[in-house]
Amino acid sequence: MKTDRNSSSLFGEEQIQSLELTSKNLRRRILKVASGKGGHIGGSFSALDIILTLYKNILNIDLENPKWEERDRFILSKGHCSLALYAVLEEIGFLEPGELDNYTLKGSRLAGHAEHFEIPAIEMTTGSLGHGISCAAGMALAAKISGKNWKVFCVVGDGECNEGSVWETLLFTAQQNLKNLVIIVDNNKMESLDLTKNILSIEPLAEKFASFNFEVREIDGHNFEEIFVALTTQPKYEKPVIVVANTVKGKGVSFMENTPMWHYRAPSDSELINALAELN
Amino acid sequence: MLWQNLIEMRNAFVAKLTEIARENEKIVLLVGDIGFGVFENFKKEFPKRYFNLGIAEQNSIGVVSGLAKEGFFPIFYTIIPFLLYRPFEQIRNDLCINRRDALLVGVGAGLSYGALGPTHHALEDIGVMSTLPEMRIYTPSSPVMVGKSLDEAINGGSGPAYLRLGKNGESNLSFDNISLAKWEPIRIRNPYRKIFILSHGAISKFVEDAINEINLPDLITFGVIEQIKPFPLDEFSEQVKKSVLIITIEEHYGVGGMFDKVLNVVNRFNLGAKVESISVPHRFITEVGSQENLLEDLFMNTINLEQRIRKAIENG
Repeated sequence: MKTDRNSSSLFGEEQIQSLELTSKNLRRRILKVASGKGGHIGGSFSALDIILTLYKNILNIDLENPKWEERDRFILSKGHCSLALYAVLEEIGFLEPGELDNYTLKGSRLAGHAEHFEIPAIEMTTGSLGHGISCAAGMALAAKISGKNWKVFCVVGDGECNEGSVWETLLFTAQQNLKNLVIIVDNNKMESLDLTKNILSIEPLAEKFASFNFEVREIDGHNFEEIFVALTTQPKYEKPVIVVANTVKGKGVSFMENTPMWHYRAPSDSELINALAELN
Repeated sequence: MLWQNLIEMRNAFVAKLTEIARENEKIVLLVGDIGFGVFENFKKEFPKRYFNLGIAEQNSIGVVSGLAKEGFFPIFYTIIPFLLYRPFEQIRNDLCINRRDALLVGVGAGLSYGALGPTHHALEDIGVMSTLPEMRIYTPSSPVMVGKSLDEAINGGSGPAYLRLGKNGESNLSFDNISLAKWEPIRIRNPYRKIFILSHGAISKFVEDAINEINLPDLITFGVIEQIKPFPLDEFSEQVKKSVLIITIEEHYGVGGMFDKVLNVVNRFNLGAKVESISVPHRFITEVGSQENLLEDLFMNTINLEQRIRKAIENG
């Protein structure tokens, strides 16, 4: 079944309610998987709603064939947030039902940073920051020079924007006017140990991107309607689009939100119970 | 004189690449703002398959990876240190871990950029690339072998590859036209002698001249390695059976270079031969001078090589 969901007429209150419910369920799923073994919960929770909306309502994909040639491509440049990607892939059937339980276990397909070798739906192996975005730009160039209509969507973190390679790629994307590449910054305003502004500030982010010749769209990265509109509206100008999605690290669980400890951690039994209760 | 004798490695590269690109429309040439006048004709003939990516090597390797992922065969060309050292992790992750069919072409092997100083020298590149699984390394010895290596790098294997080019008017070896029928990762003249002299890259011409001067064809086997990774183990082991002394000569550090590889193989397979290295000493070459000047200072020009080979044979 190929999906052509990239149309605002197919996106309304019903879809938003469905996404809200699924988002909560996937957060619960991720917490249970991460308990006892750990995982990048904070960043996965900030990026989840973006990735979920992409796979559920935006990406032109064939749910029967993850390698369908004309599919839109998705690159998770902040590869440490694989839990969010895996949870969504499991939800739409690109992983086996229940497979996420095997996350990081011996013999599993699901490494701590997403690997593409055995999972057809994952486009590339990422994990080191500032790599996926450059590859995504190369893929967009490939589509452009071969006259293909598919698009590339790429999620990068705001902390990832510390990497010089990100800015090299932005220069390149604007130079080649790659309007078939949509870059989404998961702007949770935190890095591993502290707020981004206290480590290596990248603000004012939207102004920086505008000065790099991008059409900048700033949204609430947990508002499904805003995500949908920002990622599906054609560029207004002769420029590529970049979306600054303002998000909350650890979104959905009060004691995890904006707390460095939850960048990477295994919830204890009591933490898990309390977190799941908040997501009911 | 054959046309091949008139050109240097860079020109041989572009000529052969143009020929291949006419047949293979998946070839895309990317350059890091290097090669004044070298690619003008390629750009004219294939305007949609030529990109100057600017001075941004990390992004460039990512773009190579993305193009390769979507079915193109990208070839990225720039000066060796910028090609390999700046974006090392991109090469490791985005090309090797992700197993992309792509080619990195480095210009300025060894001391080719002599007077431009140590930032531009490439004396550790084989060592650096040798650490990476999946990576193939081609070290052509002459312009005509650049063409053969390019063909082999594109059509003869899979995964990423690195092609190491000189820059300064390299010429061909006397036996280049003898052994062109099929790809040979190591080429041998006078097989199965007691002394085995092995070289790679453009200095092979100096080595050949020195061996000709010494003129002991019954004693000396001359081998030239055109593809150093994977190391041509079977061919090498076969040749070295009767050797008592192996002399490796390279415009590269012995550390991480052919010397290390030969030592490793001789030791691992208990081949029994003594191994001597003539290579660039393991320090940064900060003296100012052309490639010719520096090789002379380092006792690596044809006359020096002749003397050093004679001495090694006497001692060996």
